[in-house]
This record gives sequence, C-alpha cells and structure tokens, in this order.
Amino acid sequence: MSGRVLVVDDDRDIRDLVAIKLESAGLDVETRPDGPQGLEAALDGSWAAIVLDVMMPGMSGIDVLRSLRERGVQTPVILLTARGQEKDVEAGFAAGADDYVTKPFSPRALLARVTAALG
Amino acid sequence: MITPLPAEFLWVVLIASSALIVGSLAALLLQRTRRHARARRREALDAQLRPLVLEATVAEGDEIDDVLERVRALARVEREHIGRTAYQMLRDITGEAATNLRAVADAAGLVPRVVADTRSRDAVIRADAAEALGLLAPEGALERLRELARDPSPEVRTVAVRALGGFDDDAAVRSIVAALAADSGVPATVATTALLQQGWAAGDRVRLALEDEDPSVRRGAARVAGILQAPGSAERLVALVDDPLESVRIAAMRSLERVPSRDAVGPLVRAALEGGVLGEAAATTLLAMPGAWTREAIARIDHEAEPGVRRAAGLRRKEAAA
Repeated sequence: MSGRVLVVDDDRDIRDLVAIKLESAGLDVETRPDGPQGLEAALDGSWAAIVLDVMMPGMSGIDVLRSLRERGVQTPVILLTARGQEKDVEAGFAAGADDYVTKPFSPRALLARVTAALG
Repeated sequence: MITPLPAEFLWVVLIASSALIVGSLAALLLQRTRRHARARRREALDAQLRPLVLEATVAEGDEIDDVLERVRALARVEREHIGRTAYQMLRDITGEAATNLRAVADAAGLVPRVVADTRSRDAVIRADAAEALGLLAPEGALERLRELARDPSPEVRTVAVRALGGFDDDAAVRSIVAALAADSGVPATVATTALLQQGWAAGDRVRLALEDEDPSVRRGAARVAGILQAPGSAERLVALVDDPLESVRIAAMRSLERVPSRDAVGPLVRAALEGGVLGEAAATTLLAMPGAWTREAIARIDHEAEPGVRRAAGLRRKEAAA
C-alpha cells in the first residue's frame, strides 16, 4: 500500500500511535499538532487521506474540515471523535467527512478505514 | 518620649531580614531547578522509552514477547515510566493494540502497584486505582472492582461501576444492577451506561432484577429496562405497574413507553383512574402505545378520569370539547 496521509491530533500519543500504525502498513505519514497547522499542511500538500481529530483546542477538526471543503479540497477525511459525541459525527458528515472512528479506537480498525478511503 | 532603638539592634534586624530574603530566594531557586531537572529527566525517559511503547502497539504475534522481554530488562525507574505511558495510551485505545499495551504495563510492574492502591486509605487514590484496574484488566481485577463497587466512598463506587462496564461477565453485570438502587450513591446514568456496554447479558440481568426483593433495585431495573429494550422485559414491567411502591410503578410505566405491551393496557387504565401523578404517568404511557390497543382505554379515561389524567391522555378539556 502507498500514499501520503496527514494525521492531525493535539494528543501526541494518539498522533504517534496512528502514524506508526499507518507507517507499518507502508504509508507515508506526516503529523500536525493542531488545527491551524493541520489546515496549512492539508492545503499545501497533496494527500491521499487525512485523519483529523475533532476535539482540538482553538480550531476544531470540524472547522478544519469545513475550511478544506469550502476551498474545494476533496481529499478523503476520516474523523476521530469521542465516544458519546454523536453531534460531532453529525456535524462532521454535514461538513463533508468521509468516515469516522470513535475513541477509544482500535489502530487496526483505523488502518482499515484509511485503506478503504484510499480506494 | 520615644527612646530610639540601639543602632546595633537595627543592624541585627536588617541582616537577619536580608538573610531571610536571600534564603527564601535560594530555596525557591533550588525548588525550580529541581523541578526543571525532574522535567528534563522525564523528557529524556520519554524520548528513550516511547518508541518501545509505540512498537508494542503495532507488534504482531510473537513480536510482543520480544518487546516485553526488553521492558522487563529495564531499570526500575524506566519500567515505572513505561508503565505510566502505556496506561495513559490505554484510555484511547482498544483492540489488539490495547491488549499489547496491557501486557507492557504488566511487564513494567504496574499491576501490583495499582492493586496495592485499591487498598489505600485515600479515596482519591482508590478511585484512580479502580479506573486503572478497569483499563489494565489484570487477573483478579473483576473481583477487586466488585469489592470497590461496595466501597464506603460513593466516588470510588461510581468509578468501579463504570469500570465494570468493560467486563463481559455475569458477575460484573450483577454489581452494576445492584448500583441501580437509588441509595447506591452511584449516578443512574453511570450504571446505565455501564449496562449498555454489556449487550445481551445486561438484558438478562435486568429482567431478573425486575423481580428483585429490594424495591430500589426493582426501580433501577425498571428505569433501564426501557432504555435497553431487552426482549422479554415487557411482561415483567407490566407486573410492576401494580408494584407496592409508587416510584417503581412510575419507572415501569416510563419503560413501557419504549417496550409497549398490549397486556399493560388493563393495569394502566386502572392506574390512570387512580388519578394523581401515577394516573397521569399511566395515561402518558397509554398515549405512547398503538392506538388500536388503547382506543377503548382512552374512551374510558375520557369518561371517568380526573382532568389532569385526561390531559395526559391527550384528551381535550370537556368544556372545550362541548
């Protein structure tokens, strides 16, 4: 499997964990620690998929996603949402998300979602 | 007349004050230096050990054994750090990666410390330990958590019940159902959420709890039976419409709105005609049921029930109807 994937999460543990799991499957991964840096990277690079945490201080994942879609970026986006936050899922799909994974999550399941998003 | 203090005395006071200020500043500086040193040590440990924890999360098959051997070979301070890191990650991780992280925490010697903490005199430490036991799920965790679900502190009981939700075991469900009792000190939402994690096993236990001798357990079970929509619970909820305790009857009625039963119509009409809060609750439940079942019941309420009950049954005031 190949492709560049951007991972945006303010939690370093999650960021690194997702990165190492995706890299173990042969993907080329870059990470960003917050919404503004995530948005900048998403607009600058060409990505096969973006994994985006919803709950980030300042600019949330939904805000980043909305900005991307408003600017015509149609890269597949998989959201990481907290369990029990169905409103985030609704808002995410309304903003143009392609899929979501609920925390706590299985890295293997996330990899499967990313693989599916890559087509 | 004021006698001036001797100059020598003033000098002594000045020197003592200066020494005190300098001493305080030195202590503060030392404290900050130590704190920074600790933070640097933690950062260094983190940089050294995080790759090992991350490696564990993606280890497949036999690979994890090698990682665990390396963890066991670490110095005590390193093992403590790696145990904490694995524990922190467990909050957000499930599946195979979580199993590996639990093994890392175990290899790091975290489990005995957590078990020891469950016996601490400090309720905050016991509550933290209960949460950790739930995440680490070592052998014996279920029994210890069931004990903590009866802890003198309601906070500890709450954390323990929440943690028990993750254990797919009848004994865990029994403890959670017991926490549904109104005087358990555990918020009903916590116990309900823990039950919802249990799937079918929860439905079975809730059905049994609907017949419990303790009315507060019956009330708690009646509250969640509708949320769980457990198959077969409707029959027992119908029986609870005639329970000796009013709060149990009302809880059963609320749940029957979600799991309607034609057999409930008769008992609900009788309750509706009793009037008061109970009668209104019964009428509301009847209104939520299919109209084909309740047409005659509603007509009877229209003729015989008090105004509040009629309103609850969705009927217009007689004066307005006239």
